[in-house]
Amino acid sequence: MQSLYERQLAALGALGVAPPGKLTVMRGDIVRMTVAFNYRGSAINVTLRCSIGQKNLGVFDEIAYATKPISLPQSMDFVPYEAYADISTAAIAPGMNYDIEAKIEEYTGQTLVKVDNVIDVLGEPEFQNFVITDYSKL
Amino acid sequence: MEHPAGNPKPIAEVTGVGKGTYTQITAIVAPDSAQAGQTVNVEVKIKNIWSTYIHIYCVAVRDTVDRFIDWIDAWVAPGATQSYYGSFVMPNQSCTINAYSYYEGDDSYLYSDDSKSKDVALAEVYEGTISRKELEYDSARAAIPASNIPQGKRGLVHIWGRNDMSTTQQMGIWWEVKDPDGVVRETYSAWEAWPYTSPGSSHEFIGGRFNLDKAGTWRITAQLFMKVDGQSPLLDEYSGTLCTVQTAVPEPEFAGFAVTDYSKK
Repeated sequence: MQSLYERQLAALGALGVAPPGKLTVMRGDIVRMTVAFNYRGSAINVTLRCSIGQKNLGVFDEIAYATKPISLPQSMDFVPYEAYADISTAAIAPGMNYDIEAKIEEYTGQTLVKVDNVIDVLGEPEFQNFVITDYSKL
Repeated sequence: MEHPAGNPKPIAEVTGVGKGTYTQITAIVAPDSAQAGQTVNVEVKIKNIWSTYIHIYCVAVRDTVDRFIDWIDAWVAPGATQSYYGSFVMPNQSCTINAYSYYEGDDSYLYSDDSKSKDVALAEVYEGTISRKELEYDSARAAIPASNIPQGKRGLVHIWGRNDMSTTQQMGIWWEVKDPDGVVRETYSAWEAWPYTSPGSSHEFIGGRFNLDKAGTWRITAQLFMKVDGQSPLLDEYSGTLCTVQTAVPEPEFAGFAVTDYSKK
């Protein structure tokens, strides 16, 4: 259970958020998406692709993405790995509940994962509940 | 020793056919044929056919030019047979071994007593070569010794035997494949079917398939033969590495792929 302070930091993007937690960023911020996986087999070079998008008629509609090459050495047994890609949100219109997706491009069938409604993107400076609360003689 | 005729006489005057007065060359033990350059070992057996000990000398000559048993002597008991040994290098033609026995007379002179001959034919040299060796594994091929063959492939040996003679010959093969643990995994032998292999040509022998299911070094011993005159002389041999097999690497596989974290950088 996160404390209020941690939730505030998370809301500011200063802390990493684990799914299905929500991350709020300003448009133009960079979102670093981290994945973990196990791999065994021959030595291969693959590409990690991380995306932010929205479901459109049930289909993930990719809006922004980033790729990163990964080299995996030969292994007879499963070995754990962690990798990340940094996604620019400049192309994403301010909005709520964006989805994310990650996969190894060459092995989509084994790796494609999605998490829905986890990114909020804020846009122009926005005020809310602006009211006069008091007036007095100084 | 008393000479029956009082004094030594030429052998032709005193002996019957096939033996001398005092000695008899009972056998010349030597091969009927030999290849040029081959060492021919010869044993000449001489029997004392007299009633007392005789000092017997032996001389053996190849074609009157090579005295390869050169006055070797022995005292031989009555009725006993003494062997005299020697050898010569087979010339590039057939030859004749001529063996002679001599005895030492009372006057200490040596007298010729018996002789015998044996022909040694020049044996044909059978020539052939294992000219090519390949390992087929599934749809690929590699020259033997092959390396880095993936584990789990199906192996198939191909060996070519070349006829290096001037006449058409029937070629034969035998080989044995052992896995890295020394277990025999394939034994193959065959004589080619008619028509046979013409001079300078090669015949391809193809074995049976076996599983290359162990990582490590596989070995093969292969021997090439030729069928001539009821004989099967060995022509060529290879004994060594068939191939090295690599441990099988599993197909690329991912597991537990998940997004663990996302943050503002």
